[in-house]
Amino acid sequence: MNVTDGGTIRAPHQLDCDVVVVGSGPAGAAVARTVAATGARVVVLEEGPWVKTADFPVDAFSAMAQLWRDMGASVALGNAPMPLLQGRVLGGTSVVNGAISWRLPKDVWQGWIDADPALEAGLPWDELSTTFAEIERDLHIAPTDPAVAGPKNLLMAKGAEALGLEHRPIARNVDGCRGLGRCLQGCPEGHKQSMTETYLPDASRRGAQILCQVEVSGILRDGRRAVGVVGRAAGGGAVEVRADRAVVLAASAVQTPLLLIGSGIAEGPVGENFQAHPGTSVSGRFREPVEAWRGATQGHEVIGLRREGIKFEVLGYDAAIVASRLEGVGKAFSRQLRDMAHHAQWGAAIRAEMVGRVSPGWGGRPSVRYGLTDGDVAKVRRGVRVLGELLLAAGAEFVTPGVHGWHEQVSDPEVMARFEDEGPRDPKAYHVAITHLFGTCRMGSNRARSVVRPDFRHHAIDRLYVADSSVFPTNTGVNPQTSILALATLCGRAIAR
Amino acid sequence: MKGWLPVEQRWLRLLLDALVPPLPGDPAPGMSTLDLSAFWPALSHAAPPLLRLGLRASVWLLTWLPLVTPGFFAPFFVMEEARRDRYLTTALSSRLFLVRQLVQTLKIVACFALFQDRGARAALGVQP
Repeated sequence: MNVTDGGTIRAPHQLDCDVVVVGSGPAGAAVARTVAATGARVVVLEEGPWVKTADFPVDAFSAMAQLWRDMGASVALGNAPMPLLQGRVLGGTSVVNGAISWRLPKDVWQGWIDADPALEAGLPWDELSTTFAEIERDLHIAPTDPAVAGPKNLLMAKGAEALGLEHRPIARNVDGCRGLGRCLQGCPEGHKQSMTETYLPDASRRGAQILCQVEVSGILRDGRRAVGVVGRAAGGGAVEVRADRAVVLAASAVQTPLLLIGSGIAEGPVGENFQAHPGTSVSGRFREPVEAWRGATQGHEVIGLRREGIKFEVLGYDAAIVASRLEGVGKAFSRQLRDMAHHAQWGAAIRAEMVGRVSPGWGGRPSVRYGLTDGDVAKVRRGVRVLGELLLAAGAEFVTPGVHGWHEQVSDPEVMARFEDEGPRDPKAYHVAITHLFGTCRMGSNRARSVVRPDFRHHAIDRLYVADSSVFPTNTGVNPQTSILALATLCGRAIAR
Repeated sequence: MKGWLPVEQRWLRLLLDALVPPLPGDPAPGMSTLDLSAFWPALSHAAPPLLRLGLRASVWLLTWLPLVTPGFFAPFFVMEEARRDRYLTTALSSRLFLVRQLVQTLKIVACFALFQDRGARAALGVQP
């Protein structure tokens, strides 16, 4: 793959193309690949660096420093501050996620169409279904092979089976995975089919120019028409890319609305309708070693409560993160570290009802306002309860719910079952992090209530498209990468037409 | 940490040492035995402003808060080891969210530093 490093651009740099794409994550890569296949001249601009496969770090700190935006320490402020996780690297979050693949559930899609029937023209289910199948073929998406799952994943199957909850191996975009458990630090063997292994090289082969370490700061306009973007390379040179046909924003549900607002394009509810999937986790101690940092990073899920808005997944992290979730400090914590291999951590992702807001904040940084509603906290409580029950049913000697004001350790399933009623109502009592961001440039037919049209075009500015999960009218309740890829592919096709 | 006063750096080190002390007779290191000379510049460079602010606030608050905490009434740096341990345990379960969060922030930083060290990883059974 041919990538120009913005670190080497020290003088003003101008490019001309048909389509410029801001962002190289799943949305940007899918648009670039789709449009480049038609022979169009495409330029992709990525703010983060290109970290080559062999250079992916082992430990969490190095990975978070190099590959994650703000070290994964950006915070959404609301009734409980929550870290907000996003990749900032060529390939975007696809490089550092758990490779979980879900098609957009039809019930979620139907909800979008029921709320705005005009969306069906832009997102026909038949075309989406065909596109999902193409993506699954391209990215080798298949259920996790038990041979690489490792104990933490197999134990979840055992727990779910004992409780009679619907469960399955997670379908992942990997090819030849050996279960190294390093998805979140970047797969060091290139087995995860992230965008740097798949759609970006495809786009490059088809002539797309890819530049990394170039931060786009504004959209160039000629009246009501977008004609390009400007930014700055890490080497200090100003970068200007002129596009004859389309400017495509695919920078994420946080950065895309900020780019629009910063460019003076604030029509519609841009930055509003921020939605996400808050997640919490519970740790369980098993007699046998689990080594949560080994085996398929996230290889098993419990889906029996998905329609209630709760989905359970095995979590696999580097030992640094596993350790930080162990109980205690001081000598007690040091003793826990010696026992860390016996702890598994499983998570519950919530389809939250909360709607927040992204806006420009202090020093030009994003300000994300987002909290949990009472209903969301109720789902979190249910999630913690079920996680605890699953771990105990799988054979954990005890679980540590990690909830302030409740038992530090629980070994009795009957006690765990009471958590849903007894658990704190205060969101600050829980460890919650936000992943999967949506909705800040919502797609719709009503320009007062949406930012882009059902065909991804901006309502007010010609030739301006938004392709990332900003356009999703709601959150999805499932891991969104495959949905983002599919919708962005449709966006690419709309541009190509 | 870049831009910190030497005294703040000493307080930080004391807090981290107390958060993850070595255990007697155990080969695994505590924070006090780690060489963090490369870690701090890397953290200073990568951490967003809010994390840097939170870390500094942790150091100030957890150093001086025990002075007004019943049962301690002394700044953190004059306490002996067992009381430091007890104080951090108390702070971790504080009814004040901010105090809990500041301890948690320090704990995460300590874990980052610990597991960035290949020797520490090996001693704790985490390969590579």
